[in-house]
Amino acid sequence: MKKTLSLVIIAAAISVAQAAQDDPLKDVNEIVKKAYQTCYYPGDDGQRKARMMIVDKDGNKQLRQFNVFRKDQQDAGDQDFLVVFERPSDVKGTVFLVNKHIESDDDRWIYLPGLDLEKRISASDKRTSFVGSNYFYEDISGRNYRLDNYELIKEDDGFYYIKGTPKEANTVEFENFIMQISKEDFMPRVIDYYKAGNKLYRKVEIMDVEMVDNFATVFKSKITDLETGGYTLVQFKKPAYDVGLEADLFSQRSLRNPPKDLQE
Amino acid sequence: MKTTSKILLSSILGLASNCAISAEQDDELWGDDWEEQGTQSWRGYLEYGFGKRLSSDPLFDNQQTLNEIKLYIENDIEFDQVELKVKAEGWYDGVLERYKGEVRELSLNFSAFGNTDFTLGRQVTTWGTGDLLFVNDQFPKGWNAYFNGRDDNYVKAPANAIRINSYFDSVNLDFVWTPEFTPDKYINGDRFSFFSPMVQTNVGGENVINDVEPESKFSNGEFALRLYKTIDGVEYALYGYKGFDKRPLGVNEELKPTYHKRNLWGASVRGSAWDGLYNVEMVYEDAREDANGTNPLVNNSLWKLLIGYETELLPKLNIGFQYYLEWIDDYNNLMANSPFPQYEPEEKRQWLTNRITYRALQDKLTWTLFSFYSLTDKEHFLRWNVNYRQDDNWSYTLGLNLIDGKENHTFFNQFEKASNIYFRLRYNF
Repeated sequence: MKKTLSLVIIAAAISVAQAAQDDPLKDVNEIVKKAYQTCYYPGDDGQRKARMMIVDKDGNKQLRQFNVFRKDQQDAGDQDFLVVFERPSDVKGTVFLVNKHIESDDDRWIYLPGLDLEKRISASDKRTSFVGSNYFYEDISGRNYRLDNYELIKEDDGFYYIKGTPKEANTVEFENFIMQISKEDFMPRVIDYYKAGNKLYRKVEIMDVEMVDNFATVFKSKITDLETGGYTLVQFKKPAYDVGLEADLFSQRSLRNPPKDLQE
Repeated sequence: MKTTSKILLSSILGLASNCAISAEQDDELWGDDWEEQGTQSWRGYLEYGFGKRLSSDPLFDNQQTLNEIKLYIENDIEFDQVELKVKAEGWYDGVLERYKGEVRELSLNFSAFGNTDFTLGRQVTTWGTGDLLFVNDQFPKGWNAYFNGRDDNYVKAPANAIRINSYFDSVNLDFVWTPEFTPDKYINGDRFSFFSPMVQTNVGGENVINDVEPESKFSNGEFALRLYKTIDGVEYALYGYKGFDKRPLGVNEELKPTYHKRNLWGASVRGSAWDGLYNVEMVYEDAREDANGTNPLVNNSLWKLLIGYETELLPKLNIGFQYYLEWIDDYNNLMANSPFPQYEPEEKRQWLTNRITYRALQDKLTWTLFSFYSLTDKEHFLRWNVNYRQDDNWSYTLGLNLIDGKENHTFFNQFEKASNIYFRLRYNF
C-alpha cells in the first residue's frame, strides 16, 4: 500500500515536471532552443550579403564584405555554409565552405585563389576570430545549444534573461554568458560573456531586427571585445529565405567556382 | 581629423564605460556605399622587397637575394556566361638588373552540361595534400620563391593549359592538359648557386643551365588527371600524370641538361581526427626512359610518401608536422652506373617538417615558422617570417631563410649560401 502510494506521488511529480516543460514560457531549454532556431535555422535555406567593419582600439578600420549561403540538413541539426568574399581586394575570391555537424567535428575548407589551393582547416578552433574580426567562427555558424546548461535568471515584459554555463568549462574562454532574448521574436538582443570573477569581457549586441518572410532577421549587430577595446560592426543586406539553394552549392565545386552573387 | 578624434573619443568612452557606442556613431564609420559585385575594377598591389645573404657567396658580385619593386593587378571580367580572369605583374628586378613581366592568369572560365567547369588559358593549378611539399602536383613551381622571400603564391608558377572539372555523384574528375611542356622555374644559378657533381663544387653567378626542352608536339604535352570524392568528411583522391621531369634532372646524349619522360601514379586521403587534420599521400614516379635504373643520364624512378598532421594546439596557435620519404627505385643499378656515386642521394631520404602559425593582435600579426629537417642528410631549412597587416592597404613582412647542414651537395644544403633575411612592404588597392 505504502509502495503504491509512493509510486503515485512519483508519477504525479513527473507529470507536474512535464507540464512545466510543456509550457515554453517556463522551460528555459525550450526558450533557448527556440532562440537557436530563430537565429541559425530560419527556413530551409537562406542567403544574405554581409559586411564587417573591424575597428581596433586605436580606431584603425578594416572591412570584409561577403555573401553567405546556408542550407539546413535538418532543423537545429547539421547544416552547410558557403561564404564568398568580395572585399577587400587581397581576400576577394577567397571562399569558405563549412559542413557543420552536430554529432561530430565540422568539415571546413578554405580556397585561396592566388595559389589555387583547397586548404582544409582544422575544426577545433571554433572560438577563434573569423577573418580577423571580433566574431568567432561559432558566432557565424551558431554555438551548439547542447553544449551549455541554462538558467532563467530574470524575466520582464519584453525579455527573458538566461544564463548559460558551459558543460565542459575547459573548452571555452568564458565562464558563463547571459542572453537577453526577446519574448516577441525570440531573437537575442544582447549576449554578455563573463570570465572568472564575473568580469564582463565580450558583448554581442543585435541592434536592428526586422521581419523578412515571417522570419526575425538581423540587419545590424556588433561585437565588442572589452579587453582589447576593439569591436566589429556587421550589416546585412538582401536577406532571403527558402531560396531553393541546391545541395551542390555546398560542395567543393563552389570553392573554385563560387556563385558570383546572391542567387536570384 | 574630426572623424578621427570622434573615433578616438568613442573608443575611450567605450573603454571607460564598458558600454557600446551608439548606433548612429557606428553608422558613420562605414563611410561609403556597399560596393556591389558587378562593378568590376582592377585591384592588386604595389610591393617592394629586399633581401640579403647572411654570408656572402663568392660566385656573386651582388649579395642581394631580393631587390624588386612590383606592380600586380588582377580583374575578373564577366561576359554573359563566360568570365575572363586576368592576373598580371611587372617588376624591376634589382638582383638580375632587368625589367620583367609575367601574366599569371589569362583564362576563360565557363560551365557546361550542368556539371562541368572549364578553365582555358594561362592559369596556376594546384592539387595534393602536402604543405610546401609536392607529391602528386606536377604543375610548375617557382623554386626561387622557395628561398628568396617572395610571397608564397610565387612557389607556384603558371602554365598555358586546359582544365576540365566534372562533378558526378560517384566521383569528381579533374583533368588538366598542358599542350606545351612547361618546366618549373628551377634554380639555374642566376640568383642562387647550386652544387654540380661534375665540378664537385657550387656553380652559379649567372644562368649556367643551357637546357633542352622536349620537342613541341601533341604527344609531348602534359596530361594530368585527378579522381576525387569526399565521403563523410574524408577526402579520397587518385592521381595520374603523363609528362616529364619538371626540372632538367637528366642529361641528353650531347650531355646537355634535359627533361626525361616521367609518369606518376598516386593517391591521397585527408580527413579529421584527434582534434586535427591528417593527410597521407603517395606517388610512384616512373622514369619511362630508364626502366631498370641503369642509365646514369636519367633520373631514376622513385616512390614518395607523405604523412601529415595539423592541429590547433592553443587558441591561435596552429602546429603541423609532416613526415616525407623519397625512396629511389633500382638503387643498386643507380650506384653501379653513376659517374659520381659519392654525390648520389641516399636510397631512402627522409624529412620532417614543422609549421607553427601563431596569430596575434586580432589576426593582424601572423608568425609563420616553417622548418624542414632531413633525417638522412642532417640538414635543415628554416623558412620563417612574420607578417603585420596594418589595415586593408598596408602590410609588412620580415623573414629569414636559413639553410645549414653537414655536406655541401645535399638537397637543401647546397643552397647554404642562399640563406638570407628579407623584408617586403606591400600596398594593396
